Amino acid sequence: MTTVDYPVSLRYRTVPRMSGLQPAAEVKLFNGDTTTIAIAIFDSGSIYTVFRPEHAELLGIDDVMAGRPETISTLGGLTIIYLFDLEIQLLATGPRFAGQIGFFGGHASRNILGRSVIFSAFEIGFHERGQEIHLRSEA
Amino acid sequence: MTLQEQLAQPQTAPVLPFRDFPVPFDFGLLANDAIQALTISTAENFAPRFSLQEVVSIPIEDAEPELDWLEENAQELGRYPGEWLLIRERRLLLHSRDFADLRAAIRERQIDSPFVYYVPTEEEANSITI
Repeated sequence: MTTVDYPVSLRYRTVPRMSGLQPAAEVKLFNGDTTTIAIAIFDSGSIYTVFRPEHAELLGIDDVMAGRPETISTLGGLTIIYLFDLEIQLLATGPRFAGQIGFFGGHASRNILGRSVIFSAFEIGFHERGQEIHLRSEA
Repeated sequence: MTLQEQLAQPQTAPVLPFRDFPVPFDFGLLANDAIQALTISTAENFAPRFSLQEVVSIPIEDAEPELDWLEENAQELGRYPGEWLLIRERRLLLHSRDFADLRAAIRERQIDSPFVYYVPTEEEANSITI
């Protein structure tokens, strides 16, 4: 049996007009010296970490479609996201790290913290009954 | 004490930096104790390794101020479905359906690291993601 000690625990949050408590986190995105702060939801079912295109604008990315396109399957059908080499910081844990961050080409209802960046940098435990996420950095 | 006087003192074995009582010595492959330097081979003489991840993963208090504020004001902010919010230092600066309005305000006020939040519409709010 494997036992994991999680040094960081985040409680699920109430987010405006999102039903129930959400496994949400505050993140900072970096494109060189340009930064923006966003709220995103942990989603272990998503391969990619993806944000709304407006956040790309705030990072100085004028044409989000200049990123590397990747077709993904969503509940609404197939869609394309655009990947950029950026840095991201989970503000509750401290260090920032580089990774491929995706942006939707059009409107999206939420930002997603998926496996490609976040789940590669942390061991993550969901404690649904306690409404908590537990994190352990793999840096 | 002069150098000559120091040299005249009885010579003693050097005190090892870690422990000053007998430890197992490694005499080398040739087992020639005349030419091999004494070495300590016990692992306990070395500091235990520490893990960087344990250092960098300490939870940070009040690290999510914008999320704290959103949570405190979730009901009030729910009055702006389908709108973008520009939040700065625990204040709602602007809300608009047109993101260009926020972009202009951010540029005008020269806000570094802006925090914006999209309030889901009724349809988006009531959908369940699986």
